[in-house]
Amino acid sequence: MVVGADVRDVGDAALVVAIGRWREDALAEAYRRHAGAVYALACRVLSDGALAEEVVQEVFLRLWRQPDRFDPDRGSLRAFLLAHAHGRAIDALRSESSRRKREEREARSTAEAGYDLEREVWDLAVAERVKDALVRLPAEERRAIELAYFDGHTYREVASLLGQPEGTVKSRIRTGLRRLQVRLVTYGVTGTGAEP
Amino acid sequence: MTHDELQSLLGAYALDAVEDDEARDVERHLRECPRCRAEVANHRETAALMASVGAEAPAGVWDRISAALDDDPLPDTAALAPRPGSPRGRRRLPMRVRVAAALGAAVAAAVAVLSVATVRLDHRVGTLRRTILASPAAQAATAALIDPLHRDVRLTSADGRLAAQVALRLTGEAYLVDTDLPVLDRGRTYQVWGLAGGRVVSLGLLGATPVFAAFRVEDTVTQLMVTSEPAGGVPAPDSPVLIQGLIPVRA
Ligand SMILES: [Zn+2]
Repeated sequence: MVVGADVRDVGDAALVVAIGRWREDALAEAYRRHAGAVYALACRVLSDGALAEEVVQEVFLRLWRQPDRFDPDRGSLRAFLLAHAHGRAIDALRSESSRRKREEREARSTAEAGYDLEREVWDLAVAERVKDALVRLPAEERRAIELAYFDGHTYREVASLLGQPEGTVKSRIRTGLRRLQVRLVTYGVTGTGAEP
Repeated sequence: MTHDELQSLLGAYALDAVEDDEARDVERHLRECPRCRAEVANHRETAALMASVGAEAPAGVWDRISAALDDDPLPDTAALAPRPGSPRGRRRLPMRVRVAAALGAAVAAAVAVLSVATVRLDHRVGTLRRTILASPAAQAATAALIDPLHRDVRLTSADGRLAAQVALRLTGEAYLVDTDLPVLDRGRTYQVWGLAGGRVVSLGLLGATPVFAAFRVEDTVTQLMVTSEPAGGVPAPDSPVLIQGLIPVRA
């Protein structure tokens, strides 16, 4: 078995090592693997394609400048990038200027299906199972998670939107996430694609 | 805040759905509580799965990122390794990791996955278990490291600036588990050689990014060497030996 060669052939952790050595092709490969998901999430949270593009740009530039912030022991690169993207999207959302934009919320379709066919197929297969796992969650847990994660509300806002106690919402989010994780593991979905 | 209260926030925190002051409390706590850190990491993986949809980022974004890279100032230490005026997409600055080592331990995290072999024995299994998830190659390499019968082969350059570690199992399976060999340009590969009865034999190609690369070592081989060659490899070493080391005698 021979391992290595091209950046296309290495896992995400090795890719980040190569990015740490200023290999632009490694950054391009990380972009190819994960930019679609980053963009889709930012779009979903912000409902604004232009702002979402800025988030994508920021996320990958930070990966380039501070690759050491990614710790492969702590999780997958996909989760790391999405957590950063989500945080940035939320910042933008909660800032005054974009609050207005948000009120003019217009549904924007996420991008076209892509150029990394294998990853796309993988993502679609995961999406199917995630959808299934979400549907099987207790409805109040699913609602709380979606309002928090995709609509960018704090758990307090979710509580007032749903007319439920804050403590209840907080624990529904946590319990729902755990339930979701367990279910995904039993479906055989355990990671976010560290492999090429 | 009690530990229970903090824990109750972890799900919302992982989704960026807490107030700023709560986020600060959680972050302070995460620095000292591995259990809560692990929980947040799990929630983030789950969230990432929810967000994983087959989609493509819009055209033009990569071009803007790539253009921004060209304007990027490099750290001061970059002076140690002059930046080649290379076109985009090629290696810009070789061996940033070593250059940046001067910057301190922060960068070390980036090579964490390479450092499996340097983990001290008492931490070994825990760390390996986590790393083992990384990839099949990592899995095989870490399995070799966990094997109590494996031998560690230490390879170094003549000036001591480059080093690598190979884990060699009794079966002859060998894995490059830790190295600071730089990533090679496209079109090049590392090739590993063995010295057997006075003859140099090729043991295989390690690729341009020799992370967890695997090869076979026959019993007759007493010494390992690594060279950099054109992709595809060569029948006999054609370039200077970068690193080499003796195989310790079987215990
Ligand atoms: Zn804790």
